[in-house]
Amino acid sequence: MEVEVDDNDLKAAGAELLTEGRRGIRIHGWEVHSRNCSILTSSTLELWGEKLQTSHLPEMIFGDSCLVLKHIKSGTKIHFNAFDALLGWKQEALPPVEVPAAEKWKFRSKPSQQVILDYDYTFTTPYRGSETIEIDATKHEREGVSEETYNLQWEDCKEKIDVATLAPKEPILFYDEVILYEDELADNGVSLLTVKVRVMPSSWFLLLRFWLRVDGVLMRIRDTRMHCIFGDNANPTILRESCWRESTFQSLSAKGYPSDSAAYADPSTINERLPIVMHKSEVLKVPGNF
Amino acid sequence: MSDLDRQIEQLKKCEPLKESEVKALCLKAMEILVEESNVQRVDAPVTGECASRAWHYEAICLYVLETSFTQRAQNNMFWSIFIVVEADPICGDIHGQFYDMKELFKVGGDCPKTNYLFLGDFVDRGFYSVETFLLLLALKVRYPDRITLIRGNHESRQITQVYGFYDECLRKYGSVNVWRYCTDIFDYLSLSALIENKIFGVHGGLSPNISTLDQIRIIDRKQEVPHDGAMCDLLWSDPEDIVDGWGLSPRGAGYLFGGSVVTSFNHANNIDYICRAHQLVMEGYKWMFNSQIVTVWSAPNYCYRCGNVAAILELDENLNKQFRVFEAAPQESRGAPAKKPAPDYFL
Repeated sequence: MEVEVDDNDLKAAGAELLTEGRRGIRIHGWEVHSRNCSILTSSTLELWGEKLQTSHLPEMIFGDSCLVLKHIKSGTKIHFNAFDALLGWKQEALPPVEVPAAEKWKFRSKPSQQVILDYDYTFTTPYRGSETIEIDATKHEREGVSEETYNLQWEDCKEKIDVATLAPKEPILFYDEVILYEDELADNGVSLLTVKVRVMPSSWFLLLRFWLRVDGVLMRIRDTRMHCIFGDNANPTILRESCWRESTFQSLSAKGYPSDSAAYADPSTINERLPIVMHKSEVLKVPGNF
Repeated sequence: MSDLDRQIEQLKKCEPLKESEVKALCLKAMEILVEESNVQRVDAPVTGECASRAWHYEAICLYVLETSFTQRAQNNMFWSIFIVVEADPICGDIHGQFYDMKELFKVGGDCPKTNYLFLGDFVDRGFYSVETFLLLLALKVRYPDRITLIRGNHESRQITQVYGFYDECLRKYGSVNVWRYCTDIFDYLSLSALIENKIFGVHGGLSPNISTLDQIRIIDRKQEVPHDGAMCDLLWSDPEDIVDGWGLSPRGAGYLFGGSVVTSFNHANNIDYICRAHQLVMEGYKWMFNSQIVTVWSAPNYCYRCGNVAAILELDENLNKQFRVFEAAPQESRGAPAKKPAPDYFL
């Protein structure tokens, strides 16, 4: 059941929900918008295959689903979509992970003309979001392209997201979860890329999570969190924290954690226990007008 | 009304049976299934032998709407002599989506009036694996010749412990006994079907260890799905565009087969095409390799979020085929949780 947001809470925060069937909210100069759509049709899937130069894609790509956070004044747009995430997968191109049954299969007699496929079927992606600065063409008397992909100036920092400010003491004015892609690894586990967002009167917060479980073999979580505290400043700052964790089932079981996949239906139950393989914090000062 | 008929009525309302009833049902089902071949023969519908096996309801309505009484009289088309046009559906994965399976029966016609072939994957992922599988099993026991159930890769002890059916049994019965009865029955399900000697039905696909149907017939199927070998391949393998012969999955286990493999198999066994399930198709069905193999997918809005349509393949007495595409049951008609998750103070 969709939870109705209290009108008074919205009013008090100076926020308004988007209208005309668009899901989202406007608050403190930000427009946060999400869209959940069906998986790609076979013909679009083929098209994506051509663009990404691959014949293997996740079986469930929610290609038109997205989350967009736009700072209206500066045109700075942080957004999340499956295509860019899969571009990242294609570029990283990790070597395949063998499932437990592979050991047995090595002793099978090989059929003639056997091809061994070697793409990364886990669809692991280093994706941490997409960035654009939308330039208002009329204001700048520019013609043609009004949207360009920019690398925003994220700077490394020591700061961490202040979890205390995110405690459940404020109402959530807007919440959504968007699945970008999902694959069942042919019933050998799960590969899932999702982004969740919540907007409160004092900040917005999001979590982009890539979650991989290769049954009996490997667990991988790649999280990116972003937090933007609203202030009087016209140029807000966003804190981004990425944390990649990974462990084999073997080392989990050596530490006394369960080794059966059924125990890991939800990544949040194991997240904290997986060793960190990469961590970084960055800050972005949202630029002024272009 | 017999106990079995009452149980079928109850299951049709998505009410699970008592544990003792499940046990008895499974015992009866075992007696029937043990007699079936690994390549279960399925006959095409018979034409015009029985007035009760009427036209599809829609076809009758359309005919009556579009013709006048006089026309019907001239055409000699009174109800009593309507020529029976029966079409029997082949269905793909269901995955515990009970209310969507009811949509399937609405589209295909009721069992036993219509003769069904299900290609496996009745359980896991959806919310009603128990009710879905038990209804199909009860229909099998009640009308053994009118419904054929073959085994999918999810009809396995190992897979159901990870993907939902085990937990669902535990939740609904407070013990794993029902899961045990059902998984014991899984071992008895046939591995494939052959329709009028012309269409080969299987859950996954082909195996390099199998070139003739006789090689399937001699498999000792009464066991948990093995991790390799012919039986495993039949339930697990996939057709693949980019290989012509055999391909090994990057997982190091699992075969992919190309067009030339299908051509040789169909030729060697004198069949027209292979009908399989196992892979999600947004449009409900998909032909490959020049119409030598078709994937049929029967779980609409898969996992309650994919937005895909589903299909069944109907065959008439001449094996003419028609795909019937259908959508998920409307939200209000099923007890599925709502689409939008409640706000959550995630960190």
